[in-house]
Order: sequence, then structure tokens, then C-alpha cells
Amino acid sequence: MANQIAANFAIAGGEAAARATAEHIRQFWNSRMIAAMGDTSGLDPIAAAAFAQLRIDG
Amino acid sequence: MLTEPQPYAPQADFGTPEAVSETMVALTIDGRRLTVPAGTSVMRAAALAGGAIPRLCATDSLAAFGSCRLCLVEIDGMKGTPASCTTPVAEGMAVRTQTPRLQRLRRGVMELTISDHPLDCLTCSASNDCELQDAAAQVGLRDVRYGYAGANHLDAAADASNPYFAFDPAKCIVCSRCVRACDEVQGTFALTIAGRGFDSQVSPGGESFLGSECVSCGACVAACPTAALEEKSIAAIGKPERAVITTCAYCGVGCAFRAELRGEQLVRMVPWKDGKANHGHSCVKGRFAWGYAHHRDRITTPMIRERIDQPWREVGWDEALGFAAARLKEIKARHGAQALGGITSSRCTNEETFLVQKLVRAGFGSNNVDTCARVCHSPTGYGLKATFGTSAGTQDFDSVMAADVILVIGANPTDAHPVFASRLKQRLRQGAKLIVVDPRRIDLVRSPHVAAAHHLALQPGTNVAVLTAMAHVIVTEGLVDEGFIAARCERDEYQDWARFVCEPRHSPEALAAVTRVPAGDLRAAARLFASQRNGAIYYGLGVTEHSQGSSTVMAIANLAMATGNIGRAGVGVNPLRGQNNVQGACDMGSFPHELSGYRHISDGATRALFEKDWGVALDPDPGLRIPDMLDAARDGSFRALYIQGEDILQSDPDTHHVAAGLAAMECVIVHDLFLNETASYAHVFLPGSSFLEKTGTFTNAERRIQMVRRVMTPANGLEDWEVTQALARALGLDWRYDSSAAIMDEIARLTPSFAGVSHERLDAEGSLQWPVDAAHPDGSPVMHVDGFVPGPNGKGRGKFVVTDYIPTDERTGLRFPLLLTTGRILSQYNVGAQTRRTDNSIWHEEDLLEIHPTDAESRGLAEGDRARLASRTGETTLRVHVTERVAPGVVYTTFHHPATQANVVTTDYSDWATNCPEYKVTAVQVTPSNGPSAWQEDYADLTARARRIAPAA
Repeated sequence: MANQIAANFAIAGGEAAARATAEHIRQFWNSRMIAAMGDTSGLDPIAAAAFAQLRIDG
Repeated sequence: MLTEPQPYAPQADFGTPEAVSETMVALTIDGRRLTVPAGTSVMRAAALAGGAIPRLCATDSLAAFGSCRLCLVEIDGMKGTPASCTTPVAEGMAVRTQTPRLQRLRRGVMELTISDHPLDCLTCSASNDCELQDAAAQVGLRDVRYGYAGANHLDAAADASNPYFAFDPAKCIVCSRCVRACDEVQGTFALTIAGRGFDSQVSPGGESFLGSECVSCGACVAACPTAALEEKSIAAIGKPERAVITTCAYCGVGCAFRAELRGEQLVRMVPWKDGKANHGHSCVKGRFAWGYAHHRDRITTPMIRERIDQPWREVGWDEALGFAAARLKEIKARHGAQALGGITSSRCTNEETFLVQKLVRAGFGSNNVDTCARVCHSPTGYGLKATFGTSAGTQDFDSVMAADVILVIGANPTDAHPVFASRLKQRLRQGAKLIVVDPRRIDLVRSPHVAAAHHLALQPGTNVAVLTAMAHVIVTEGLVDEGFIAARCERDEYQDWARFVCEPRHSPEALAAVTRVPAGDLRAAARLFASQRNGAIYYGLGVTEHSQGSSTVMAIANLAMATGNIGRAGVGVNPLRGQNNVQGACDMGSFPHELSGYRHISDGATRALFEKDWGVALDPDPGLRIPDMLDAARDGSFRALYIQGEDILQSDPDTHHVAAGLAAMECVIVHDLFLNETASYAHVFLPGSSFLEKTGTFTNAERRIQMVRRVMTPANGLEDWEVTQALARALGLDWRYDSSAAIMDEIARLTPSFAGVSHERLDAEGSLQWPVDAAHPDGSPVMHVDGFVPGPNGKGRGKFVVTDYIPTDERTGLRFPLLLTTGRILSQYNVGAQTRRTDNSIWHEEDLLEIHPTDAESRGLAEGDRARLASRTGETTLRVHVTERVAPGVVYTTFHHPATQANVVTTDYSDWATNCPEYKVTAVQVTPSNGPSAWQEDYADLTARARRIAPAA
């Protein structure tokens, strides 16, 4: 799912795509689902960057 | 006021349609002066003045015909006796409607008509409700000089083949109203007048009504002045004694009906002429398919069981609610509020839906509430909010009558939204152009007097590519409405989007490889759409139920903005909603991330408003969606679900996944009319009330809020909102709503777009289209008229969103070479819970698999053979219908029957933004089969066991 979201934002380019992906997940995902993602390093780089941002922002 | 039941009387009929003109014309009729709009007929003017010129072939739903010669009048300065139906008023005209000459002429006409009509008025089913009888009385018919011994049609055989109405040619006066209703109103052209002169007879094309092209919409029955075409229920029961205005509970068109009753017995449902969504028209479902409300399968007593492998035990309301509340509390104590959730229904009223989400948020203490719109129009909500600032279609249905070019994409209105389709076809017959984007050759592509200018038969799953290619043509060929974009849209975002669509990789030629749409056709369609004054886009679930459903909605919005087609009649973006109250369920805060009026749950100010009103703290964290709840159930963190009026086991994708999630829960409460498929996994069954048994509101696809009115006592004793309130009270919440009107008052208090809505106002005004607020006190037929709805940034400008085509992960291959797409047909509705329990099944007894002749031949399949339909997810069997409606490589079926369960085959791929399932694209293989699949046999066994009810002790 996260990869699919990232793919749809990818056209915006690296950092902007990661920001949009993070914002989308923040808006629509329950925080426990975000927490439950665990290790995100195997994800698409944009999705992984989005989760890194979500963790920083809490 | 429409609140009080009206004593039965036929609906007012002014003889000819309303004329709309700014020029007013003054005339006198029988010495009375009056002023009417230019273009009004003399007949209508007389009716408006309170008179009634005798007539037989005229009715105000049809164009004047001038054939019965009964409505003759005398007009000063005009020779002879012109027909008042075909004579328009003129300034200074002096009309006489009753003179000795007119009386003599009219009696002569009536004598001829009656000489071939049975004189069985007392025992006739139309007795005292018959326009022929009225006309005979009006003209003073006392005798028939010709006698009754001559040639006649009194022994002509009746046709009772249609389950709902009969045609008795002996009672027919061949006025052609039925034929014209079928042509002008419904647009099916199934009826004709066969023969000439004395042999003239109404005929459904030489067939029986059932065997003909008739779609059983009832327009002919409504138009018939005698008992020739009449509902069988009138013959069986008698003339109604009262009428209540209410709203249909089937599709998102939201037709207004008159429920006509004797006592609490419903005699018939007749489309209400003043209904603004349907203007007196109906389809086979709303008009006739209401028998399910009293079907023997209906459960009216609450039931409980400890475990789902036990039989049900019938109990009283207190015991059922106490049992449910104790389980919910116990689960909450053990696992926390997040283990509880609810699902609201798009079939229930706004008031009921609002209460269920309130129960979850304020009572359960989580935001785990979702709705069946998740699986149909959630991408509409996301996509239109992102682009236009609000989650709703932009037009009213009447708008289509001003459209010059109409793009229908991923929708099949003649089957799924038939009453709107009839309006659409009226406009097409007036000359508007049509573009259809659909993998199937739907009826609109070519049907009597309608032909699409272009049918882009795309490969399923390539909507975004097709729309991007259309945008490419419009931008690169300079067809953009620059003025609109400069005035109304964000400039930078437009430029980013325009650069994107102009890239050569988005040309129709480049994308034809994936879309399979010939580039020339696509270019021509794009040019046509951009070149007309008013272009309107209508779409359905063929847009939303894809892995890029939300992207497609945004691509549609982009196209509308680029061509300046927003903010006036005849244009716009129009989602055709599947169920009656999909719009309302979304408006009422049914999604886990937002409160009513589409305000995010994390928004502190909005939350504070609700917290103050409800007296509880709300969780700011978005809750779980339906698929997330099912996943969480399997990992043990989600354990209790209250489901009102939805059958997720049948309607949601990947049945095995849904079943496993439900089976893992400890408390499933199903609140429904029937023991539906989901109830096989339930611990508590709370009987529901039908739309005939409760009061509230539905909001249709044009944002029109209309009253649903209780016409009979609920069979289960309680309206659905009362059941939810009782459950809330059992849980310790102090809810004290004394009516559904009080719930609407709370909705209005807490939802800005509903600020001016109340039952009292709806009773007085008939309907209101939201937003109804200070800026739009009388509602909003067309949205974004002067500017887009201001978003969080407050600018109120349209936002172009770049939509990159990303193919679905669901791919065809050697093992699964065909693409399955799913949909509905006219006579059945959704999971069929209602329509399967009516005579509508005569038209559709089982789900069929449509397959192209070449694909069928290569598999050794012939018409009617049973086939195995398998995907990577599961398999089922069903019979095949070999047809060229589907392209080679594509197969199609409906999901109306649980025995087929098409959703055993669909996957859990979904829309990237909203999780809306990808029902429309599943890679499958089709092979011949001898009988039901192992799953079908197991499932039949499971449901039989799960539905056992213990005998009373």
C-alpha cells in the first residue's frame, strides 16, 4: 500500500514525493498502522523516506 | 406541506407540458382573464385557470398529440374548432370551452370510443380512477347511438406476462399515450401501434410484454387513461385511499414516489411528478420491486448466540441489546477502544448513519467507522476534494438538458441509473453529442434513436492513460479555455499539469499500446469534447473501482477545468452514485478520518465543536478502514463490529479475506432486514426497518436532500435510528432523541453545509441541495458558480493535479489470460438482497458471464454452458452468455447472487489513495465446468448451518 501511494506521488520528484506520501499517510492511516510498519528499509525509497519523516514528526 | 398523508386523488395533470418563457401572454378563457408564459397550450392555460377541458390523448408528461378530438374549443376569430392541446395561447385570445356545438362534437367522439369499450365500470379495476369515465361524465354521455353489437375488440386477450402490470386490449382506447411515454419519457421505443384503422392495437413489437424490449419502467402504466395498462396490485387490492410522498431506496438517482396505500397495505408506488430528481419517471426497481419489505425471509425478532457455530436464539430487544452491550464493554475493557468499530450504510438515512458514526466515536471511543462507500465512491471523495475543494458532484440532473457534448466514462446509466439515463437520452435525441469510454459496448453506445459519436473501448485499467491522452490532445492542439483557467484555477499547478500532459509519451499514439484505443478515435473524441459550448462528464464505478480510481477522478476534474466546463448548467463533473444514500453516508462523517461535512478528525477546532455538543473527548487519530479492520481482526487487535445495513461478505472483494476477518471477531452485530451473508458470522442480529417504515432523509447524487417518510408501522417495532439509540443507551450513553428530526437538527448544528436543513423545511420545500448555508440559503443546484469552494488554503481556486498512469499490479498472463470486470444490470440491485426477493428475478435469475465469441469458441464454450471462472484469489462457476458486447480478452459478470459470489474471484488490490477495491480488473481464466465449485458447495452448506434458528423453548 505504501509503495503504491509512493508510486502515485513519484512524478512530483524525490523529496516532494516523499513529503506528499508522508502527508497522505498521516491523513488516512491510523497511527498504530504507521507504527506497525516496523522496518521500512525494504520499501520503495520514496515510501521509506516518507516513513522516516513520519517518525521524525511523531 | 407534505407531512400529512393526503387523501388519495390522482396527481394533477395539466394536459400538456409546462412552457418556459419570459414572455407572458394574456388571454380570456370562458370570460376569465389570465396570463401564462408564451408557448403554453390553450388546454394547459384552461387547467391552470381551474378548468378541465375534456381530453383523452393528452397528459402533461407528453408532447401534445392532437388525436382524440375531445379537447376541441372555439376561439374568436379562428375557423372551426381547434384542439386545445395543440393550439398555443396568443395575446388577446378569447377561448370558449363549452358551447352547444362543442358539446355535440364531443359527445359524438365519446360515442365512437365507448361503442368499443366494455361497460363494466362497477367491476372494472380502474373504477372511479379512470380518465375515460371522467371524460364520459364531462361530456354528458347518456347513450351510444351505434349500440354495442358492431365489430369490437372486447374479446381481445389480455397480456399478463409482466409480473407487475397487465395489458388488457379490451380496455384500450388506442390513444397512444403508452407508446409516446415509452418513446418520449423512457426512450426505449418498445411499444408501437400495430395495424391500421379499426385494427390499430398497442403492441410491444409483436411480442408479449415480457418477451419484448420493455424494461418495465411503468411509464406506460402511469400514462394510460383507462384500465388497459394497470398495476396488477390495483386489480388485487383496490383503489388506494391515501398517498404519502417519499424517496426511493434503490440507486443514487433518488426518485421521489407517492406511496399509495389502503390502511397500512401498500397498493402501489407511483413516481411523483413534482419530484425534482425524476420529474414523474421511474424504473422497474423503485416502481415495482418493493415486495421484499414483506418477504417471508425478513427477520423481525432480535436474535443472539454465544458462538457462530450455534443456532440463533430468538430473544426480546432488552436481552439482545443487553447481550451486545455486555460483550462490547467486556471487549473494550480487555482490549481497549481500538478493538471496537462500526460500519454505516449507504442504504440507511442520513440520521441513522450519523448516529452509527456517533456511537462509534462517542460511545465506543474509536474512529473505527467506515461505510460501504469505501468500496464504491471513496475515490470521488478524495479526487474532487483535491481538485475542486469539496467531495461532491457539481450539477443537478436537470443540467444534462443544457449539455452539448456528454462524456460517459465507466458508467452504464441505462442499467444502473435508469431514470437519469432517460433524461440523458432525451437530450441526446435533441442533438447533444455522446462519447462513451467503456470496455463494454453498453446500451448507450447504440440504442433506438441514440448513437455515440465515439465509443472508446479501452482495456480495463487504463482510464488514466485515456484521460491523459485526451488532455494531451486538448492542450497541444490549443483547445484549452485559457480564460477560465486564469480566472478560476491555480496558475502554477495548471502549468505543471499542462507540461506533464504535453509530453510525447502521453500522446494518443504512444498510449494506444496500453489503452488499445485507436489514436484517431481518441483525438476526435477529445476535439469534440473541447469544441462544444457545454461539455458534461458523467462517471460511475468503472472509474472509481480501480487501483487508480482517485487518479481517474482527478483526471476527470482536470479535463473539466481545462475546458472551462464548471460552474453553470450543462457542464460539470457528475459522479453517478451507486446506492440511494452514498452521498449522504459520506457527508455524515462515515469515513474514519473525517467528521460530517468532510472535516478531518485531526482538526482541533472541528473536534472541539463535536466534543462540546456530545460531551465527550474524541480521538484525533484516523480510525481503521474496512479492510484494515479485517486485517486487525486477524492479528487479534480488533474484535467487535456493529454493521448497519451492509453485507460486507457479499459486497466486499476477496470473500475469503472478509470471512477470515469476521470469523476472528468476538462480537459481530448485524443490523439488517435479512439474515444476510455477513450474518453467518454474527453473534447478535438486530432486525432492521425498511424505507417504508421509517422517517429520515436520503441525499442523492446531485446532493439533493429529500424526505423518506414512514408509511407503515415497522415490522420489527422500531425504526433503525431507534435501534441504534437503544444500543447506545444499553452501553450507558444518555441519548434522548425523540424523532429523526431531532437528529437532523444536530447534524445541521454541527455541519456547516447542512446549516439550513431541517425536516420542517424539507416538508415545506420538497428538497434542498447542499450546501444550504448563509451564502446559499436556498441550496445549491450547481456548485462552484462564482469560484471553487475555498479549501484549507482559503483561496477557492481549482487545483490541477498531475495524474501519472501507473498500471495495476493485477496482470494477465499465461494462467490467467482474460480480464474480468463486474457491474450491475437493470432489474437487480447490488448484492440483490432486495431485488432477489421480488419478481424482478424473472429478468435475471442468476449471474451470467459475458464472453466474446472468439474467447468462448477457443474454450469450447457455447451459450448457456456452465464455466469455471478462476483468478489467483479463488474460483466459482456460472453460466456463460456469448456476446460481442465485450471485447476479446475481456469477460464481464454481475454480483447480484450469493450462490455465484463473483467476489470470491476478485482480488484485494485497491485504489492507492482510498483502498477502494479494484473490482473492475481481475485476471482470470475461464474453462468449461460440470457443476458448482467446491467453494460453492461448502458455502451453501455453511450458510444453511449458520442460519439455523432454535425452536422456541
